[in-house]
Amino acid sequence: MTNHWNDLANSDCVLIVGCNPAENHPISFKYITQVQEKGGKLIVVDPRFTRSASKADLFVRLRPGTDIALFGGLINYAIERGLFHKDYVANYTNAPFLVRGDFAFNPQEGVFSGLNREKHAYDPASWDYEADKDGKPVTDPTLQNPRCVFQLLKKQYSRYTPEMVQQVTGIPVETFLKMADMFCATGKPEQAGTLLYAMGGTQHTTGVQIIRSYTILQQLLGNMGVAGGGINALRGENNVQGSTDMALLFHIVPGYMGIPNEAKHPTLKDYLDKETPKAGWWMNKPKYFVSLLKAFWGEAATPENEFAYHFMPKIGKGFQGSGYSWLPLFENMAEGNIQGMLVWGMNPAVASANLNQTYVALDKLKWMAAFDLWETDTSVFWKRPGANPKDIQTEVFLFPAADALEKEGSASNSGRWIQWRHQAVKPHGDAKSDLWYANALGLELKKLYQEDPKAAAPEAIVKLNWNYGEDPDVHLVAKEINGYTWADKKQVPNFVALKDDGSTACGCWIYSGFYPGPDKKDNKAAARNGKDPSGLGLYPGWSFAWPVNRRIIYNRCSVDAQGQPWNQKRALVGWDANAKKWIRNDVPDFKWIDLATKAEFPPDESLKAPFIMLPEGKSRLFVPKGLCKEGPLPEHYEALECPFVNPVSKQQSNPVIKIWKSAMDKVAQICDPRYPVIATTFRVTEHWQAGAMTRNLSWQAEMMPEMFVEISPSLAKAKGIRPGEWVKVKSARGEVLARANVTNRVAPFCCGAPGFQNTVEMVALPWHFGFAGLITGGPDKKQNYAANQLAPMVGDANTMIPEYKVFLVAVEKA
Amino acid sequence: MKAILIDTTKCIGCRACQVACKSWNDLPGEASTFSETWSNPKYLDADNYTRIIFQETTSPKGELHWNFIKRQCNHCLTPACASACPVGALKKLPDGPVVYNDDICIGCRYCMMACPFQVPKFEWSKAVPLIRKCTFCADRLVNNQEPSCAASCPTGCLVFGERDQLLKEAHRRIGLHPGKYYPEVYGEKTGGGTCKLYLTTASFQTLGLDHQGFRPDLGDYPHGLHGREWMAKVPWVALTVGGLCTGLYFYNKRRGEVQDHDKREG
Amino acid sequence: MSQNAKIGLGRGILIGLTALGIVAGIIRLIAGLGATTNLSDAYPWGLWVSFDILTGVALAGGGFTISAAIYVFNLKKFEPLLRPAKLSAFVGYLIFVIGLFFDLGQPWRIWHPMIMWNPESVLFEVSWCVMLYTTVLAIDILIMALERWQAHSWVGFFRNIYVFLIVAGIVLSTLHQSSLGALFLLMPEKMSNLWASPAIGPLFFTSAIIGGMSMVALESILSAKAYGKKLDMELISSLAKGLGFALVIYFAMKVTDLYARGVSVWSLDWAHLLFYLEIFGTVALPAILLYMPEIRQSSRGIMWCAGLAAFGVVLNRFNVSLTSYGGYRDFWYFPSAIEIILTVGLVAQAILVFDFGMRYLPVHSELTPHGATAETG
Ligand SMILES: Nc1nc2c(c(=O)[nH]1)N[C@H]1C(S)=C(S)[C@@H](COP(=O)(O)OP(=O)(O)OC[C@H]3O[C@@H](n4cnc5c(=O)[nH]c(N)nc54)[C@H](O)[C@@H]3O)O[C@H]1N2
Ligand SMILES: Nc1nc2c(c(=O)[nH]1)N[C@H]1C(S)=C(S)[C@@H](COP(=O)(O)OP(=O)(O)OC[C@H]3O[C@@H](n4cnc5c(=O)[nH]c(N)nc54)[C@H](O)[C@@H]3O)O[C@H]1N2
Ligand code: SF4
Ligand code: SF4
Ligand code: SF4
Ligand code: SF4
Ligand code: SF4
Ligand SMILES: [Mo]
Repeated sequence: MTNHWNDLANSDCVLIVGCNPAENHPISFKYITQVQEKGGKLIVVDPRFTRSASKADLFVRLRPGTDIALFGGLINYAIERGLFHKDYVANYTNAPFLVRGDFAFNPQEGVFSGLNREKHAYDPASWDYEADKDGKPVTDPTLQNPRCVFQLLKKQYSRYTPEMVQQVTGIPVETFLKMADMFCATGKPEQAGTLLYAMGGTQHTTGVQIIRSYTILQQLLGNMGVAGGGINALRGENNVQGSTDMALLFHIVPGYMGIPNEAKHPTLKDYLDKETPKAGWWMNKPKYFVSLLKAFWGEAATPENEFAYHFMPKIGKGFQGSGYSWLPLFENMAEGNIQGMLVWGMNPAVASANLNQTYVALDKLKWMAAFDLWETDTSVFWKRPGANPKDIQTEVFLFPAADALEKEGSASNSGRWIQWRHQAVKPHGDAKSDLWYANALGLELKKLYQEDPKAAAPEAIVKLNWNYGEDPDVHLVAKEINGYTWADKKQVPNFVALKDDGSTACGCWIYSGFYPGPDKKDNKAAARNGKDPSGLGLYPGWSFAWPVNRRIIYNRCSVDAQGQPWNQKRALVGWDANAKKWIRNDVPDFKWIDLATKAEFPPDESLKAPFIMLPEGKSRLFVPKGLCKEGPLPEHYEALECPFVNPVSKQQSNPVIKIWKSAMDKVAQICDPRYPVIATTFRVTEHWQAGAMTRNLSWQAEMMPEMFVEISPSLAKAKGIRPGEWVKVKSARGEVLARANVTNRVAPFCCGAPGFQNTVEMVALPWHFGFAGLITGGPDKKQNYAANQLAPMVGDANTMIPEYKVFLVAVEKA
Repeated sequence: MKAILIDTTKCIGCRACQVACKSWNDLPGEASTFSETWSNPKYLDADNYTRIIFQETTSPKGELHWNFIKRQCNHCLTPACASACPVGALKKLPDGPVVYNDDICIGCRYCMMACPFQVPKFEWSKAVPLIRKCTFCADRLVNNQEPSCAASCPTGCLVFGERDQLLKEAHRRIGLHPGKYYPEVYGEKTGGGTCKLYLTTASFQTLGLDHQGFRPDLGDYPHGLHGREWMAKVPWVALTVGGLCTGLYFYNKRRGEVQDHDKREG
Repeated sequence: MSQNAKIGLGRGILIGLTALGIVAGIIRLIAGLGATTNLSDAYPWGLWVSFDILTGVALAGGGFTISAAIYVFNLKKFEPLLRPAKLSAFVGYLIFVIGLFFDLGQPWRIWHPMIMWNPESVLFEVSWCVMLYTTVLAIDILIMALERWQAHSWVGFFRNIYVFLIVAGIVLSTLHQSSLGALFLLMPEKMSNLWASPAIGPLFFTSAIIGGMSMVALESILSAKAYGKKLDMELISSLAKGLGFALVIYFAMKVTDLYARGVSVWSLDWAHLLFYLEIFGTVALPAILLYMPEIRQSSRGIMWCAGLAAFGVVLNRFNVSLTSYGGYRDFWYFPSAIEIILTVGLVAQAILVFDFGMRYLPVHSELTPHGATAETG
């Protein structure tokens, strides 16, 4: 989230797109309800009529996988009708920047310059700003130059007319116009519109570009950096925010720094030279990276040995590039390239895409260690329906884990609040906290490497700076994350104090400042001051929001060039011209004070770089340098499995996604007659994820006891399906039994270019059910009720997130 | 007098309240099957004091609506159940709750027959069953804690407070968004008034939930008074009938003796 | 087959049925209500309430009706019917009390209303009246027993308080017979408005009188047959006359009530059909028949009419408490085997007790409290 939960209440118009917070983030409606009380509007864009939709002022039913077309249409509408926030766009975005002359987009082909079709990849060289002689980007403040970002944007989306939107998304023109007027009204300087999204936006082969299209609209309407605005990802798992901050991802190290690459960064120097930008806050990267190395290898990390950089694992060995992401891991596991797996707080036997392939992969493991509260479908994968335990050699260990209430520690919420949790009860039975297990594992590994003379490259482990005690103290971990000076082990006040000479250690620079002192009382994550001086729900004294307790990032954009708030009632910061001081309700996210002289900079200083993290200092309508693999501007492509020919261009689906070729990676053809129905998967309030946590609780189970599929009355009629009866849903990869939930909440879509129009039904399946636990999803213990037997193992080109939200199926009576 | 305002326009059907109720009252989950409407369990019973009714409707204009309506004991101001109970096992407490005494109930089930909202349920599965129903968390109220369901509601659909103030608030909301609310509070007068006050988008007539505990035909007359009125007559009937009988009896007896006597004389 | 053999066989069957009933009762107590009955949250009251409790009492209305006739309205000629009536009333209330015991969720708490009071509750009043009245009837039976054992001093004692017993009997009956109807005052919207009436109390009371008279008539005729006594035709037909009179009054009351409440009487739904059967088939019809002297003179005729009228009362109690009760029912209820067996057992038991009384108690001695005739001896 650029903003945070409480801030939703400040909005004039809430746009829920690709998420269903009423069901998946219920607490959000505490604030959304307040918006509606104050006369604000709620728009819900979803293929299904959800519990969120039931509260909407306007419900927009779009065909899954077509968000880019819809937002392309909105961008076009905002520009054509001049509803966008002009000063904002001119001053705070890269709209004025000129783009290189050799950059091109072919509207018929639907692809950008530099595509290599064999490699399924672009050469993004041309996707860059035009630079003057000393490398500075050339700009046109009038936004008139045909090669400036604004004009390119305008051209790109002029093709997305309301009619085109209807052809692609199935949204009637009048509904589209209603929505456009309602949300584009927030383009007025004093108005704020917030956008909430989650998996409905991301779980597509075009996921990243879908989110990009959301952000472009928010930038045009001047909704970024203001209270009641922003682009807000509703994070999923409790503390999934924290886990990404701590880099539980394959491509980064803690604090969102790219993981070194074997080939590109043999030495620390290579890494820092290549990865440190010349401008913007990231110029400080060396301080953060070296402090991280110091935190990892302590004494062993010296200037002489590049702070033990050679110990740092690098991408390149093993599976290339994105090889460590989910899909390739399971592809490789299936090919027998992976020996063992720690299943730590997850249940892939239900959650993973194309389960039948996942199972084959699991079968190949020599051993599996599962750390969980329950015996999950995954830890009993070897006795799943249809499998013969005798044929599966995997040795499975199950470690009882203490749950959130049984241990102390922090959890970071979607609003970047690091919130400390105290232990409510002692762990049950011989359950242990995850920290305990991780620590024990670390210590044991050190010992083993120490003792084993033949061990390969033991130092990386043996020399680890790892001393949290036998029974680890979570506060020691927290303090290391905050960072401290190496010599006298003093907690640093925040990341500004970090150095690149090895004199400081810091586990995660963005968190730096949340534990600035030695004592438990210094732990700001545990701060619980309920005061809200600004009345904007910022609660500065409640927990700690990274970075530096900033609640709403990019807040320079909440004021005009002269530093005056667009809306006085929602002033996050503001320049007091007489006092030559900044009024600060929130922590400024821009260059406002000279740390040396303590003199405050006037607004024009920060006007140069309202987005301090970016080298160009301005937000990106146009993403340069191939940071998005499919191009600098989002272009609509259809899902891999799709019953429609792309009406926008010849390019049917994302040209740069990787499609695996293994025998199990079956996909349906375009408009495949065998699989004529669109399927999407969703969550319900009553269940949690892969279900271990709720299918084992009778109170949850009784509310949603059985696997079902939402079917439109028309499809039910066509197939002679009676409400409530069991039906079979089939995809190219598998099939699942489900109860027919015949309801108007789902409906067929009429889409396609004129002449090629076609009406296609859509069904929706909850994915929480499986084959293990108190309830599995149906009466038959020999059935696997997991929806993911259907979903394809194909992912977004950037994040590799699987396309769980669109695939093709057939529905028939069971 | 405490009450809960149930503003169904704010309900997102998350059923946190349903679970919170089970949690506080230590009620078991039931082995259930799929429910077409998603409402589950499908009825109130001895193990379910409250449930959210899911109701999908399509307006004449073809718009889809999905209503979520919480059901539980309404804690009437003059409860029919309490006036029915021959042993006074059900009692209306001054601060609102209608509570039940396990130790004296004889299990006649007259309260179940009497309740206009079909709320009290019986432990049919037990050999020596008792009545079960929402307690208004009286055991929390005494400790100045709000009812478990209200405490768990994320949206503010359930507001716990003083009845008169909640009524004011309810009418304020109706006044503020005339289009949004049906201009009556179900429970303000219904069945003599209740401590659960409902705000809805449409009248319960149109919602058509008669068979789910929300009859539109209850009227405003306190159902608890019917019995009381009858009982008020009883003593007088007793006296009159008693008096007449005794009178006539002796009159007849005297006549009889006189006649016998005359016979003897004659 | 000889008369006695027949009777013997009859008794045999009755004893059998009673035994079955007892077994059913035991099962009910062990397994619980839910397991043994078809009652549910949608049907909290079923066969046992409708028949054992409501009907049982209504048909036992003869006791107080006859004694009222004799001592209040001075119709001495009915004295011969008094004791049989009392006896039948007693067995009627036996059915009630036993039925209630098995119907309660907490049977052993059946005494609670005695010390745990809710003066607001109609059911509370009913429990008390029934309790007291059953005691009164018990005493009446006791008196007969005492006479049989020649315990003269005791008989004397009771004669002195007899007036109290009679008055108490009549008052208590008036109250609870009508209050049984008043039970349903609390749930008007759940009943068909054909029966849901503020006047349901008086209506119950009147129909209880009808029930009582018709039962007395039936019993006298049947027992005369059974025990080979000659039937005092003149007495019975004047009773029949009374019955006819009561039926007319009841019909009038019902019509006025429906008219006053402006109930739409003409329709063909389930409730209405039952209503027609009740009001025309079992009230109007017997009334008209009894109006005809030739029928009033024939024991068969009277038997049929009384039978119809009695059935009418039964039907009425079912209509009020079960068939026309429309709570929120998406189910259908039909009593379980146990419910039926236990009910049948109760009836059988009642007949046995009645039969026993008829044979071993001085039911036919011309006792009057005036002591006039008692001078003999
Ligand atoms: N109760 C509960 N809460 C949860 C979870 C849970 O399992 N249970 N899971 C947590 C986790 S890990 C996550 S990631 C979040 C996920 O939170 P959400 O993203 O809200 O979860 P979903 O239900 O998967 O998807 C949301 C909606 O996206 C819609 N959708 C599908 N395809 C498209 C599309 O192409 N475009 C648009 N605009 N919408 C589409 C679906 O119909 C669905 O209603 O929830 C978190 N919260
Ligand atoms: N079809 C379809 N598939 C999907 C999705 C979809 O939308 N559609 N969503 C995807 C998304 S967004 C996600 S996040 C994944 C989630 O996939 P998973 O993460 O595999 O599913 P969860 O059920 O959340 O697994 C969490 C496990 O952690 C255990 N657990 C809980 N607390 C603790 C703890 O403190 N310690 C330990 N060690 N274990 C604990 C729980 O019991 C549970 O078994 O599913 C993905 N799969
Ligand atoms: S995390 Fe907990 S509190 Fe937050 S929305 Fe989900 S259920 Fe509610
Ligand atoms: S709703 Fe029914 S149970 Fe609850 S107080 Fe009113 S009458 Fe009694
Ligand atoms: S069942 Fe219990 S609580 Fe209900 S009326 Fe009878 S005695 Fe009272
Ligand atoms: S008030 Fe208490 S008992 Fe009643 S529904 Fe709410 S939580 Fe359940
Ligand atoms: S908790 Fe509140 S919002 Fe959720 S279902 Fe219950 S009443 Fe509705
Ligand atoms: Mo997630």
